[in-house]
Amino acid sequence: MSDDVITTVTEIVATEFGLPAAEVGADVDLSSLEGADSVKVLRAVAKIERTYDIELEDDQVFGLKTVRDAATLVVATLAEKEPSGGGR
Amino acid sequence: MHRQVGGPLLPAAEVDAAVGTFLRAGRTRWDEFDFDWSQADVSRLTEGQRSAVEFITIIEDHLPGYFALYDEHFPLNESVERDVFVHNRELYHFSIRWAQEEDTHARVLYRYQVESGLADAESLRQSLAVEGQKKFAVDYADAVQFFTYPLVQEKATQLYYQNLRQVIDEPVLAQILNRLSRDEARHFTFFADMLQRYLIRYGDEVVEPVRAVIADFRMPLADTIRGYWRWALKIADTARYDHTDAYDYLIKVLNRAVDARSDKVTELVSFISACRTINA
Repeated sequence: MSDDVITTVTEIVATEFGLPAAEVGADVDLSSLEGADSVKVLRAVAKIERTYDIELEDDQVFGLKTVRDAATLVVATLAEKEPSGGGR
Repeated sequence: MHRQVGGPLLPAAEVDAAVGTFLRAGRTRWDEFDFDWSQADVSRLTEGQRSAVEFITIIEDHLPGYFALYDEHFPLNESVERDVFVHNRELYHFSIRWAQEEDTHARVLYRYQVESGLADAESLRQSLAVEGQKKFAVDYADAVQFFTYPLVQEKATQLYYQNLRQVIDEPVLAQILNRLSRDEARHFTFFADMLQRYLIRYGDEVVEPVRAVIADFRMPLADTIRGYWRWALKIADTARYDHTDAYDYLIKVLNRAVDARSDKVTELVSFISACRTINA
């Protein structure tokens, strides 16, 4: 997976949660982060969608646990959208 | 298929008492003819406020689906024992009035959209049918769950209407939201009364079913409207919208119902408090 996607997703999550990016690890459970709540998670997902111009399936969104999950989903969705492309 | 839901039932006399309190509180009723529709003006709403009106109209318009739940799970026919029928008949005194009030909400919001210029009547009828035709499924095993779920849902809705009212600068919609909010508050009070009676009578026996409702809680139509959460975020940008705000009120009901918390009730309160912050 592109490190760029993980970096971008991490920055988005950190911004929405009001945390330094360094505190948001790729494999940290999002619900365990300080100040986490469902609205912040969904706002982060909405921003990720806008950033990559994609729309994620609802059941996929509610299954996200970590930044890596989100980044993996972004890469997969981009690949479906542009089979010959390489994402952002 | 109509099949009586399981789990303990309150004695019919207790349901009667709760229904009586509900009906007494709602003696002053209102309807769509109480508004001066000539003053309804969509141009006084922001884009986000318009979206919020469209959203809550869909939610309220799904009343036939919500009402069907009670009809299905508390049947009034020969399939149930006489005592169960007697219980269900008392509950029906509530559900039919509750449905009438919710139907008024749907009709008023529909009419608001038409009278204010937000939508034309025929297009709105057709668009509401898209979600309206989808089945609203809440498959609970215990009767108490059919009072716990709407307790949260009604309180969450009331809080949103109050919050939306605070930012609305359009007199007709403001009046509508006031009326809706008061009705939802009464509905919440009925469900809270019922849950409290269940807890007092059955104690720990109903704790796990209540817990299960919160563990899987989703607002009405969250599973049927595609991209519900995106829309929910959008209307939350207009006025605070977070159904977990209602969990605090559920905890108050739990605390009122028990003189001394059992381990199960204590664990339940802790669980709901945790869901208040991290549940999706």
